[in-house]
Amino acid sequence: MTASGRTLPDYGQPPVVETLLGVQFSPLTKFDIPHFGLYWAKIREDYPNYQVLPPLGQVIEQFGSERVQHPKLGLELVSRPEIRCWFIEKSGAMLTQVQKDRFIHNWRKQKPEDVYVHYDKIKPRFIEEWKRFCEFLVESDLGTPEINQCEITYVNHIEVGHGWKSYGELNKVVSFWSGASSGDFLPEPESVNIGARFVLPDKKGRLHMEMQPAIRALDAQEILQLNITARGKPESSNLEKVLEWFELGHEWIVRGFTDFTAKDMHNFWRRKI
Amino acid sequence: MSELQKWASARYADAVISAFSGSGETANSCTFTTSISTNSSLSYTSTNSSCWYTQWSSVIPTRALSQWQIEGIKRLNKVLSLPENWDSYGSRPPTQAAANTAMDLIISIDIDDLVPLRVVPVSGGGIQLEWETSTRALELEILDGGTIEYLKTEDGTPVDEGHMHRIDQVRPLLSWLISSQPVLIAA
Repeated sequence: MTASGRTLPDYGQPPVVETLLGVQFSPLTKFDIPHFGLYWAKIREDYPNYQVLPPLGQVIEQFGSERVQHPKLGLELVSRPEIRCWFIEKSGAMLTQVQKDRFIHNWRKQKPEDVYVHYDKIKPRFIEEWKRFCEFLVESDLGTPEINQCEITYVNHIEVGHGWKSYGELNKVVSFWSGASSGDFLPEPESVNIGARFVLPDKKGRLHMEMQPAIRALDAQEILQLNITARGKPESSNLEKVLEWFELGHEWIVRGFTDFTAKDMHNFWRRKI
Repeated sequence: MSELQKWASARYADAVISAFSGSGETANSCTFTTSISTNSSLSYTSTNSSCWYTQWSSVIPTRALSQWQIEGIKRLNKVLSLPENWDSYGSRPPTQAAANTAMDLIISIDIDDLVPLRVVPVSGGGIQLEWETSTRALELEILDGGTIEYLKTEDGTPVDEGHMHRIDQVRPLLSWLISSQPVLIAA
């Protein structure tokens, strides 16, 4: 344990550029388009900017005989459009996403010199914003959210040319990737995508890892984007149980990241514990 | 008309479609909602699972890009890292507005097999994108504020120039450029 009280692996310069904590719940049937505006009025002082987006689909981790659901593209007639609203904080570093069955709080790094905000700073912000949202639902007689999934995601940007040069050196980044082949026919890969998922203890959810080559829009930097998501069902909708699940998800993300990535890069990211 | 639009027209044959918004894959690999409005009554269609990513920061997966775009973006990255006074005449590096427009332009082009793109800095904070075939050349100068001017040349002689008001106006300019390339016809 360090002076900060942290026991999980910790890095001085981690590649994390974004973290989010979110909950998914049964659709609030009375939550309609005007309520986005009413909620915004409540938080506008802190979140002066907004953006309207299409909604996120319901995603539920299933086990056993239940089939894992993959998003399907389909069309259906509905009486009104579904939307999701982004409420963006003054600093541009925090975002609250709201739709009738989701509440998500994001932090993002805006400039290279921005310091990573740890989970123990993000979590209280989520709690504060979630309480404010629930208060609004009570005041507006919109019901109580019945949470069916919690989600934590860490977005990592592993820059090409920083600690490794090309996909021939991917074994320096990903411990799972040996880079070895059975023969000498194949050249160095031009690009590599990796997807893996792991079951959390007692089937409390899953840890998803998705790594794909990408270009960062902000500065045209070539990167490997590694998204690590822990998702699963809390024991109940009670905030205490939600936070209990977040602790598990966070531990799996941090330990999972450390297991998945190679020691060469841990040194590059200045691993402390 | 897109395949989805054709489908929608057939599906809603008894209604006159007055508005249509598309569907596809965004830069962050998420599908987005399709909406149809009819003139008889408003109807909305939505995907069962539309944009299923919760990520905020914006990236472009390289699998969604052509090789010339990837190479062009790498050159853009180098141009963006130029220091102050890079031209020894006191110029600032390209501005964020110019960089954003350059990036939007490059990723908006849906032509897979295009000649290599040159990306060069312009004094004053701008960026120039250039394509050249054996006889024709197209230059897009992105000014420091993000506005775009174009110049078409043929055999080294300017034939047309002007302002681009929207990014999608690059399509006809590139069509003109590549129409000069020889077409191989199998015997």
